[in-house]
Amino acid sequence: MLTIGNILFFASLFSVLGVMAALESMFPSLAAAALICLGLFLSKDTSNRSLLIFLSCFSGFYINGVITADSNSTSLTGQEKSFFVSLNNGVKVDGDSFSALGTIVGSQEKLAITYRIKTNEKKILLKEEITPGAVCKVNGRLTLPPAARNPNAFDYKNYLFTKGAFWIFESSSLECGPGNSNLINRIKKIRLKGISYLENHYPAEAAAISIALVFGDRSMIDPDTILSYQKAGVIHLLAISGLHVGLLSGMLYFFLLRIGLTRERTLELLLVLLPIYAVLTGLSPPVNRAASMIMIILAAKRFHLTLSPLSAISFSLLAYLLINPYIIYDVGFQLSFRVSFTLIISAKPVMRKQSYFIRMVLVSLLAQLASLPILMYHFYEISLISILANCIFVPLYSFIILPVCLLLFIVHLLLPMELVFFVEVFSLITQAANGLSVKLASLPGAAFITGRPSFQLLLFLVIVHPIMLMYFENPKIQTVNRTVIILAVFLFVLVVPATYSPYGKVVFIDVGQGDSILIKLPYNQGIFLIDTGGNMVFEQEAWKRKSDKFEVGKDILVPYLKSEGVRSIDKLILTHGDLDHIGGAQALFTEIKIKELILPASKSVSITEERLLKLAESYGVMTHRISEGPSWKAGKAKFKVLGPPGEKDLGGNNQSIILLADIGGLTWLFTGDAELEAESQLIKNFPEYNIDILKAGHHGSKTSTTEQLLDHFKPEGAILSAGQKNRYGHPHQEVLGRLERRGIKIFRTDKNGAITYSFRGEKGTFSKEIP
Amino acid sequence: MFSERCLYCHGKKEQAVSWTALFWKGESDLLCGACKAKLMVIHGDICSMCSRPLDELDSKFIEGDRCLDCVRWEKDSNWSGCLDKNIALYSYNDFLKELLSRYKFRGDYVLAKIFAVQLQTKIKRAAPDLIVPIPLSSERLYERGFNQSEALIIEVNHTPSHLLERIHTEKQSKKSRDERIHLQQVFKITDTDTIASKKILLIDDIYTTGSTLRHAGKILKQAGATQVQSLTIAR
Repeated sequence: MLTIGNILFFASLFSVLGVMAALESMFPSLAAAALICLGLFLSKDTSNRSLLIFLSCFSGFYINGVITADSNSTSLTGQEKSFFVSLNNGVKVDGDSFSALGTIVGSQEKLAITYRIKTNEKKILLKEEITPGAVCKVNGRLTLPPAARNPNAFDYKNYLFTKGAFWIFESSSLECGPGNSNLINRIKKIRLKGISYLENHYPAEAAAISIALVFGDRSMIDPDTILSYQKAGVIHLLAISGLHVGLLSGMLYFFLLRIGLTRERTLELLLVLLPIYAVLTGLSPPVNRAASMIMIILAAKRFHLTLSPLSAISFSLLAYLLINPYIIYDVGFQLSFRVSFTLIISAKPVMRKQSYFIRMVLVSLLAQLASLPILMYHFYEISLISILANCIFVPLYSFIILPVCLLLFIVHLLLPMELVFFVEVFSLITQAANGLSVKLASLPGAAFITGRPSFQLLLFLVIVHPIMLMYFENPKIQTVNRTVIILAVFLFVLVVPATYSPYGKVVFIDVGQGDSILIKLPYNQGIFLIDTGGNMVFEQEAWKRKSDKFEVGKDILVPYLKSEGVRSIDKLILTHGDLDHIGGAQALFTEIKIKELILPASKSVSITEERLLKLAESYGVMTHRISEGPSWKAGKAKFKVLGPPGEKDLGGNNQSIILLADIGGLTWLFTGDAELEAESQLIKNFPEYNIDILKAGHHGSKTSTTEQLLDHFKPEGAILSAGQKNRYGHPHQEVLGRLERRGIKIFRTDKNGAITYSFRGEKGTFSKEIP
Repeated sequence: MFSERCLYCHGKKEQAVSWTALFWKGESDLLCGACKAKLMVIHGDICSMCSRPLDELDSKFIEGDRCLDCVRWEKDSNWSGCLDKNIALYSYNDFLKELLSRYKFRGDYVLAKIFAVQLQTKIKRAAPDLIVPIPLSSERLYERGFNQSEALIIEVNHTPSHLLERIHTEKQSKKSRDERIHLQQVFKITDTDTIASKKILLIDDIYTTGSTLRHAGKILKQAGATQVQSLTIAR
């Protein structure tokens, strides 16, 4: 017979599957549930009553999910021009942009509200007006949220859907009043007061860390610091975690007992305080998980029952899923529950170890393994130094920074003047910690790019995880051997399938107005990138400046390449020096190893190009300038450089590198921004030749893709890489006409998002991100 | 069905949480953690003959991979080769002494379950043709109500072969080593025919001096058994 904890564990497992069957896809979830059921049925330990519980959990949560999904739809037509909305969460004022998720007054539906703040005075006013629960009048127009334009990219539309929002409301005015002030909003106000108190009394860096640790808001921390904590694998320390909640509740519990409260009153008081604390720290999934778990244990204790942690976390998961089935899409939720479940179930072999150090290493290792599939799926990389980093940062945070931070804050509220010295010391400690994280993150191989795992790999990881941990529990085998073998299996799984795939692809990435083409050959035979896209980043007044500006390289190109598991690029070919072709390269250098940089031979060098060359030099990247002539092979793929012409400098766009390639059974011509002159030169220099796919020059401007070129090379398909609604009017109607008249198939990134040709051997298919 | 409480001390068992318990086999521990910890599994360096742990033994009582007791048994031409090997599960410490006395003297029959899993694996490994419990005299059987060795065999779903019978009545535990060794034969065979060229596994609760088992082994070998091993709970 299963113990209560084990029954609850399976009950929550079946509930998750039930929710997935309702919201995600029916068949795999049902199949998984059926298989687990069969396994449980065959093992003699499971009573029929337990099986009944599991099946009712599956169907109960399935029905609940279906009902929630049915009611999650819009009641708006899209024509509405003004609303009253109450702002409850996601309020963000960054530079001159305001965004929030507001609930329409008198309805359940939410709107993603955006607003451009016109003056600094208005910005200051807004910050005062927008209190938790504030009601605002907005005027503007509804637009549909954009779907993802690149493979694996963040799907804003889907994200909003899971939050109960279906429209973006672009507001041209924003007038806010105090609105309703219920208990939760009142606590949220205290939270805001606390945050601004810290902002005003602490030095910036210490304030940012304290706000994260006391109030669970890390938006004040410098994005680069966040990134380095992420790469070092210690970002969990900047979030309010179970450790926090446990530490605080424990401290308070003993304090209350010490001052003479009875055990019963103490427990009751904690049961009241914990939800308040959860609201104070921003109601994030990890906090909710930890607080509800502790509340369940305390409540049981109050009634003189003992409840195992496994039962408590299972109850907490069940309650969470019941209230909000869509929470299964939340990364914080996934990480918090998966890691906590793993640590709770594996507690025994870890706690058997005498040394604190070994226990800590094992805990970091287990947490890392548990979070692996989630991190791979959402962030495409894992931190290889995380175990080392955790061995330094976990004690540093749990014994020094966190207790000091909490204590300092409480005492500071009472005696602000006397503590200046201590605040300075605390500030120095946080600076040292942040500095250390930057150092660790910059170690070679700190972040290991894994790519987004396929469904099969995810399934494999999820199944192999408990098997590995059963092996880990086996007392007959030495801990060291067990650990090494587990690590070896996981590394094998990470490296081999992603690297030695029989599939190759050519992807015209949607980088907005610009070009960027990834060529990824099968069996790791070569990765080439032609151009990187790039956008203009304007200088702005201080108050308008965003903390994290949008930049194509950092925000589109690098995440996409990571999601494809690209760790290094054999040749980065930049067809010419224009910003919309090389602007994104800068971000590449910091994240992905580039083995060779290729530029066209050219007399004139743009400022962006010059800056890039310096950067390449500092990374020790070989740089070659080429013109017509050279060719190379990689696996079965062949490449030949057809331009720019060697004898004369055509200058500007016409000096673009032109590349002919045989990839995946097709012949491709990549012409960069080549225009009329370069095209006629090409026709002159190169005999008539039948190609399959033409990357139309200069984003489809009318000065490129001439009739002569098309007749000379006779492509079957053409790809036009241009920005959605770009201001140049690319691709030009004339060019589209020339292509259509010849019956050439047209693929447009401005209409279809990224265009992908995936192939195996000599056969492949084209697909569009937005059909 | 497994109870929430320890079979021995009746204290609450802490819930066993592990991946193995979740996905492989439900934790079937009958004892609580504290009691289980007191049962010392025999492992490491043991006497190749009687399974006695050699680590805690003074080196002057060890000869090669055997304890001096076994060496003495084997030197005695009267007893040499009577028992091929004794397999034992746990060290005979105070806890086990208390547990076994509750089991056999005070009739707590259900305690046999504690050893079932271990016994089963050892029996499987020994792969005997016949499993023979050490018999009790009719007086003792009447006193206790059951044969503790037979109960162990039944608990692991094997069939006990009652090939032996007691001819001596006095309790072994009331005699000294010398008395036991120099005893006349204490068993007689009930069914001679089935023994010839068989591998026999004797089951008993404790191996103390080994004399009981050797007495049994001797007449079984005389009756034609090719191999006589014994399996005991305690050593």
